[in-house]
Amino acid sequence: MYRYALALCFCVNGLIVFAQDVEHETVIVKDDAMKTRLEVSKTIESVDGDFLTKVAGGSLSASLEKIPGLSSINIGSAQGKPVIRGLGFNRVAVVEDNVKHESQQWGSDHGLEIDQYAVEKAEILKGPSSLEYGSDALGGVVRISTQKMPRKNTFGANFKLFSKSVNSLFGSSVAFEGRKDKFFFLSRITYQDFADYKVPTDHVLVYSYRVPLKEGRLRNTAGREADFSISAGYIGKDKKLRLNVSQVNSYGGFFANAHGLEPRRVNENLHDKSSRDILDPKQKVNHLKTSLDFDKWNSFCAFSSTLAYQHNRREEFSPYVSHGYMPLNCPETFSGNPDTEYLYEKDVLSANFKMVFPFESFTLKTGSDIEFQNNEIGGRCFIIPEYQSVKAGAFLSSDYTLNESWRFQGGLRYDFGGIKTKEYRDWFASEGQYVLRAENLQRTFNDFTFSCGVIMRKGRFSTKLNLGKGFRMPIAKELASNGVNYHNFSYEVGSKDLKSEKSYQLDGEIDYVSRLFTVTLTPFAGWFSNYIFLNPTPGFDRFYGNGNQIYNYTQCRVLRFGGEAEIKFVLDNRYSVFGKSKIEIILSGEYLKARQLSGEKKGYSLPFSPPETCGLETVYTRNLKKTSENKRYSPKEFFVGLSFKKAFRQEEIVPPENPTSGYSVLNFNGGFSFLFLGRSVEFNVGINNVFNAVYYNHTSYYRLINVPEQGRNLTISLLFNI
Amino acid sequence: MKKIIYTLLLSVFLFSFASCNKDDEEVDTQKPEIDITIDGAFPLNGSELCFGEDFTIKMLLKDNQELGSYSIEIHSNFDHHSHSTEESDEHHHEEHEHHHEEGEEGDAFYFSQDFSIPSGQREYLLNQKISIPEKSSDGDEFAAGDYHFMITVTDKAGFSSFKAMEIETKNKD
Repeated sequence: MYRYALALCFCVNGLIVFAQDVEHETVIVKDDAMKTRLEVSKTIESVDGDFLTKVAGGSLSASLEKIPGLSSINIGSAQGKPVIRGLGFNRVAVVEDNVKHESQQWGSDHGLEIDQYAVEKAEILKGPSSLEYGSDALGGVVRISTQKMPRKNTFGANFKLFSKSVNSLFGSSVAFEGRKDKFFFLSRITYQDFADYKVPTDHVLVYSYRVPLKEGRLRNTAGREADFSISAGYIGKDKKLRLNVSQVNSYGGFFANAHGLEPRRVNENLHDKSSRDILDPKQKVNHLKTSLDFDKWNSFCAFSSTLAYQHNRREEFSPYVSHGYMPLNCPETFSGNPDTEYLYEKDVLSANFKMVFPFESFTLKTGSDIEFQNNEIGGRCFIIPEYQSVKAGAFLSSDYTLNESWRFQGGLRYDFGGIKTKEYRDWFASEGQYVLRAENLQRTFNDFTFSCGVIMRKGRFSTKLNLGKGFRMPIAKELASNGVNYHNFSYEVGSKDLKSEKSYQLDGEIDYVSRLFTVTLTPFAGWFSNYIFLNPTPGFDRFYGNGNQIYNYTQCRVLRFGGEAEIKFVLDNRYSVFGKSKIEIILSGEYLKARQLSGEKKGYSLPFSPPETCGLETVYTRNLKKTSENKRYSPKEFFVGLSFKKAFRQEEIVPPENPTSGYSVLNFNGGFSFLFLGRSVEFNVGINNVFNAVYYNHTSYYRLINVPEQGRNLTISLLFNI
Repeated sequence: MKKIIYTLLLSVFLFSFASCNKDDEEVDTQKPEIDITIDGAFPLNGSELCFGEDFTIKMLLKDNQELGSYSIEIHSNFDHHSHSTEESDEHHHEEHEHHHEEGEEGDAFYFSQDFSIPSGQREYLLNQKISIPEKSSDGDEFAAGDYHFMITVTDKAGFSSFKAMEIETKNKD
């Protein structure tokens, strides 16, 4: 495996040496993403809504997977959660419009409750970003913006229609926006409905039990999603006030032959009657987010604040099944719905304030935030107790530009937080006893974090180096879980003495921008002094764990290193031969290794480690704009692209994972845009997995039960603006 | 000149990353196995157990490095949920029609126990006697009918493998 990484780095080096012969010239960075990249000492990637529309995967997280260093833990065809350089769950903070998205991100079958069609811009900060975002951001941040400001005295509407063949998805997203002089509003409604998704096989082997699939459809993975958002406000010369309300509602089934990862016998005839019906097991998720932003600025300083309230409710349904000591049939005395397996409900109140003081070559930024959470549980099974938590922090950072070449950034933050879990006893008796699963527990944590970096630009070269410390408070699941996770047949035991997780990371970046091509290298090395790891032991527990294997939360030292490399060639009108055509060729690669340096799993990697990958993407774009304006119809642009991705075999596993073979996938994209009666219309078509290849994704949730990834998928989208 | 230094530094940086893990210790990445193809393996799909009589589990447990422990569970299958890992012919296709009336009467039998394996074993011939009582602790008869027999084996690294069989139970005549 190392030889690929070596080959890649030599190849990149060769190119750099070659580049030195090219004569010196001023390079103007046009690309927005590149501009952002060159201004922050951390490693940052950004994409806009347009990109997301073109590549739209099943979920926001799946769409972002195209970014080197980002992978996605996908559950079914429409849910996914982001993983940055192998770190996910509560180690990545997702921040939507200045509000940290809080849901049930600790759960492995949880997806992100964000409407991907509403995203205007997504930025990925790789590496510890606790400085501005507090606990949880130690693996990185996915920063999403859904806000844009309509132009003065306009009213507009925007329609998106989309369809996918792999899960017979139909959806649409409609947005209206308008602005008088100072008052504005934006609103959007998205609805999508999809059937069971198709995999390129007629059966899957769930724990060696053969499950036949009708027409290759993964039984009961259908679902629907309905989202809306509205935001309205006032923008003046020196202030802005904005109120946002959004709701994401999804309702979808889980693969019926394996609830979680537990094989189940199902009535296949009932399920196979329709591929669009949603039967048990299924889940219903609602996420409400309301926020109020207030910004004020003058020549001396800029102040911004956000107050937010979020409500997340996630309910999982499956027919009552008795496990262990549970009564065979649900007693009538059971309070609640016997078919509700789990219910989690979360209320979050948060506030953050920031002030920026721009001086001539020096910018000072200070901020603070506070968050309060109340979590309730329900359902017949138990994994985590009810809990309340408080987190608060304050930071000071600065950005100093010495001269054209050198720029320094750094800051310091202090955090304080606490968690209080509530006692829980089983509702049924085990050998005459109502087992105590969780006790009343109270913990507090506090920590200093920092980040410091330098950016050096010299001609075509730009070099960045950043050292950061991130930290994360243990969550309720890690401190106080004590129950069987039937999704994994694991009896998971929290540890109330866990310390907060600390991570130190050194990030480097080298950019070379020339007329013909751009090279970006982003190596990193990181060290955890006490990574919280769920360790599978060889033992079983009968009384508390119904005879399931014991998994303990432990802490260990972890070393991680790796990086991403990208070379982008752009051939366009700067070369007369290309005229109105543009050809982009992008070569990219990702490499990641993680090692546990202590503890029972010393020498092993970390769970859900993405394999090495490399990719080749070519896009041909032709500008069709004509000088003579035709009022009825005038073409704008046409593009076709092919992208090839190769993932290598992943043997870096941790029990209970399986090694995953390497694979190659080819995707096709194309699009055409034109003006019709002065309105812009865009048509995009894509074919994912052109060759209908059967492959497994190491970071996919259903990987453990050998479900291959989606088969050939034809996607079509139509956009028009009014 | 400076560029060459950069290039060299870069190569060293990347090279050191790529070659960092030569000193990898060998870690176990293989799951243990449960071999039910040995002579006299018991119970198998369709095997019959009788309340009030002993039976002996016979299977071969194997691991490439070191076995951990194993656990046995027997539970009723009156609701016809299933974890079966073994293909059984007619059982699968009659499913829901094949509802056992006896399951509704008497107490469902439930057995769960875990066992250790002496340390350092790569192979372990399981020859474990299990006693099934004739009557429940309340003195009632157990409900006969469809049951599941599940065995899970772990290795020292924490990998696990499991097999589930669909079995029948009957009351003593």
